[in-house]
Amino acid sequence: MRKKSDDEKSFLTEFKKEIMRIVPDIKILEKEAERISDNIQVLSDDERQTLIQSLERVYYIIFILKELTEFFKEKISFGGGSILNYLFISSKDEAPRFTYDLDANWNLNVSNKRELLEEIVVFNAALSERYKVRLPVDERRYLDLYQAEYDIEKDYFPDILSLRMPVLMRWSGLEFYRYVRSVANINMSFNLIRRLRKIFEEVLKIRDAKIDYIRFEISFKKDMPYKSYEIQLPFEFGREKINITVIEYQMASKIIEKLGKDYGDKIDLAAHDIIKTILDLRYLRYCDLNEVARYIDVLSEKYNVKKGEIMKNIVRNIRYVEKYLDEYMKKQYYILIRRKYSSREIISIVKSMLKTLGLFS
Amino acid sequence: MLIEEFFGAKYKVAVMMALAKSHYIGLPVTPRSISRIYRVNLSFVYRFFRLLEDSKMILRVGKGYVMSDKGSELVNMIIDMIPRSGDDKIDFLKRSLPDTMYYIFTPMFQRWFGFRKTLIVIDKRLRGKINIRCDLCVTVYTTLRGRKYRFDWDNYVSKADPEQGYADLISYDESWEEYIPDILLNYDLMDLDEIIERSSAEGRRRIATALTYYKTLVGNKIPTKLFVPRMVDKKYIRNLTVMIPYLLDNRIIEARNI
Repeated sequence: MRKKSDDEKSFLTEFKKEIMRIVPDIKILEKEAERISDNIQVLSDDERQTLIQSLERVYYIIFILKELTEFFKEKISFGGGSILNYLFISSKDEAPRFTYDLDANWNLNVSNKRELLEEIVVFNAALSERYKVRLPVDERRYLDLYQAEYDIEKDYFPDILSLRMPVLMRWSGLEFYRYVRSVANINMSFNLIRRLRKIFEEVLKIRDAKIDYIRFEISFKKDMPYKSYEIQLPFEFGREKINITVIEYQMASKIIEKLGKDYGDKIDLAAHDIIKTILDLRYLRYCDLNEVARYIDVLSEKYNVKKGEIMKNIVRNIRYVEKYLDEYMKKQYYILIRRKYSSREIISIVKSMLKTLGLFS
Repeated sequence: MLIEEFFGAKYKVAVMMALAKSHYIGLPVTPRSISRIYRVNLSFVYRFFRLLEDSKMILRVGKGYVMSDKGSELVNMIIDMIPRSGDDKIDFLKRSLPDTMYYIFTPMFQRWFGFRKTLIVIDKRLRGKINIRCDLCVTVYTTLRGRKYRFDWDNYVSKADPEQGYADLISYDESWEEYIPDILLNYDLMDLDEIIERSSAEGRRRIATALTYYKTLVGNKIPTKLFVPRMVDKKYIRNLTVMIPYLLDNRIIEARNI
């Protein structure tokens, strides 16, 4: 008969093997940091560390992107800041801004979140076949990590399903034993904490591994053009065909729905969003501007806004955020951009592209 | 209870009831099963069996015992002394079936609003020997080996432990999803792993699918021994979707278009 301690030992060995497989090696993070920063040596020690820490989260965003793509195939497409920055901007010798969630769009008709949640349950079942990361919480029970869950705290919009996935992290989140206490109301025994710490120290080079949520959203009822892009994913995730909202459409949508929007007296609340938009619009330099212009026409008609109005809003919004840009650029999200461009240069690039599109005089 | 006063000890009541009720069925009862189901001391039970055998009240058949002709004269008296419940179907079980050969279970928490059905699980050896007519029952004939049930001395009927009861309901009732809110909303009061382990193969897939669905819906806060997402069966997901109103607040469902 097998002893309980043998079972525990074999389980912990399996747990260690699984986390070695799923948690990114620091070398992979460093390699990616080097790739996207041109020369990581120009960064200060603090900045370098912040960059590597941020990339751990980005790693998981790409992980989720890959898993969702491989599982749902044609049913899902992606867009938004993460896709733009980590897959497109960073591939063009440009510095990405950091963003920590993933936006997806469901390409089939669903009328409510219940239907989408059914798909997520099946996705979880498929994930469980590939990864078995089970954190022991007592002598016989486990909490399953790397499973998608409905993010009830963040979910407000009727046509966007907010999801999250608890993952093991080195630097952000709750220490594993606090996480267990917080979600399951279980105080782990000191002996178990000690044994897990030993594993984490061996694999992650950190004793108190953390558990944090990687957030992603799936919108539905949105009719956005998308196409399949064959992309070399960062972090050695390989080449993947991914359905992505047509990049020119994304640019047009940022212009119409963000930069060219009239925020009225709420502009101070929108300032950060506008800045993010301006930073993302750097990618206009690599887009087919005729296509962007065509989508601008489509969206202007959809929202029933006139070009003159959009131009007026763009001028006002850029003028408003210009004075805060230096301040915002100090945030860790922009660690790489500020090394490459001054605020003035960014504004100038975007203005020049908008001029070409006839939206700035 | 009259019967307890009459025999003077619970283990004697247990032995006499078991022998009396098995008399008409014609199946022997064993001291070990009596001790286990009635939760009475095994050595006392053996001693009492020896006494009954020595006084020719019972006969040994294989590993068990049946009433002898002499003992059978007591059968009706013993059965008449068993307290009634007022519920015909339960009284029928109480009078006709050895308590070691069946158990009942009714959902405990009722977080759902359907009719409360009674689960009756009967030893498969009794199939064809008894006839239970009950509209609001889930009646199952199967082996009772390894099942967790015990005699309830308050009500004089054999009852399943909650984990066993819910495992059976999920396994055998076609409307199994009705019990899911009961289980999920009380996961901290029961052993979910045990429910899964006690279920049939199909029941396991049903409960695992429900649990994975629930974890997806409210967050992964329920620790389990079994890795339930691997047991998900897609075909059951639609059954669970209709249960969402019982699992989440209606205002949330409406406001967030769930």
